[in-house]
Amino acid sequence: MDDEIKENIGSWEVPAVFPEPLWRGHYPGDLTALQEKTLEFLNNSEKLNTALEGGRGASSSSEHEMPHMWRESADFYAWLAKPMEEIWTEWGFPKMPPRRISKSWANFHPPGAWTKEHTHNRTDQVAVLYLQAPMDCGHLQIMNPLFYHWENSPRGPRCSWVDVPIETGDVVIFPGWMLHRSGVNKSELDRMTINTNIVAHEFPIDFGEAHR
Amino acid sequence: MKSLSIFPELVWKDKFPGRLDKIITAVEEYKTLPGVHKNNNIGNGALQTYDTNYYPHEWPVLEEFNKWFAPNLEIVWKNWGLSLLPEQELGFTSWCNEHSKGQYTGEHTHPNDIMTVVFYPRKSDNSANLQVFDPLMQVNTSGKFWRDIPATSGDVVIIPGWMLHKVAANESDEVRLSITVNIKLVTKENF
Repeated sequence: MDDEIKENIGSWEVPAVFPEPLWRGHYPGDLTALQEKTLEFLNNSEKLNTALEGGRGASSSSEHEMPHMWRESADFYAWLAKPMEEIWTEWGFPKMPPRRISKSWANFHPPGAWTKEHTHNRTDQVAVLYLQAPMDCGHLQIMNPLFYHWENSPRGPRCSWVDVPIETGDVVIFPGWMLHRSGVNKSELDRMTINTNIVAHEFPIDFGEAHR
Repeated sequence: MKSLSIFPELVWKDKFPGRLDKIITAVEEYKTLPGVHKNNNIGNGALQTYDTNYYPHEWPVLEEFNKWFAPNLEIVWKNWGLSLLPEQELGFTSWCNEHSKGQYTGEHTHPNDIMTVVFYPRKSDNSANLQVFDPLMQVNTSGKFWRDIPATSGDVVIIPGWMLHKVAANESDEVRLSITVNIKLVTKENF
């Protein structure tokens, strides 16, 4: 539970009745080489797309080359495997079929840019690494998934879009169904993220092989 | 990695530190008072008692409970980010439930009520727990949609009025006694 919430509940217990969907940690390693590699990759890519990006933002989500394939990201992904598995278990997801990285990509937000609201359709788990997140670069923003449930109550500040403050090196993990976006980069520096989709993936069997 | 509680917490539990014996007596006597309605059409004969002219939360014996509860209610209210318009105030209704062995309450919500408070003057451990339904069942792939809120005598549980809930069958020989208070927004008289 969030420390700030814990301080403000008096003698109440707040039982974690259902799995907590949103998690944040901090990658303790050196990101310099990965930052340089990502910037070089984005600068040389001819397949950047802007479908979900506002301002002059860009994403490598259409590229065949993906950050998880890079030597420079190996330490990060080695570190990420454990928390992702622990959270997978916390969510009550089964061990089988095995988890796989289905996709990874980099997002780039110069000053004034942002990512529009979206979900990661048919993705079980999402991890976002804040590779370069200067102050005021725009927080991650999550839509309260119980927005409609609260609509018959006086509307509170945490019942719709809620900010998740982030800084360089932070990693946020959440389910793919969660509606999210980024705030506008109001800093004078660029913001970069590495995004990773995880799915539980059955081994494919071709129809031609089915009778063997 | 730490989980982030960025949204209002849904389920709250605390324990009333005061005496329960006089409250238990009041619950048992309530059903004998003239004007008190008795409804036993819920859950294998479970008994619900109420009087709209004399709700349980208005009983003198609950004065200590009400004094204890008021600041605790404010904590939940604040966590949920709720606020009142100048013309609004809180309206309270309440009733008692008795669950003997084998009795339960079926699933339901409390539409139009902001908050539902359940106080247990008498409840055996691990029996006839309040159960809440996962409001995100559409994305719950575990298949476990109902979750228990374990409680015992003296406990108080708060859930949002919109939350689907029920009471599991009482498997103990002890009669389970609860007082439920619903809180809603009402327009002030003469506003």
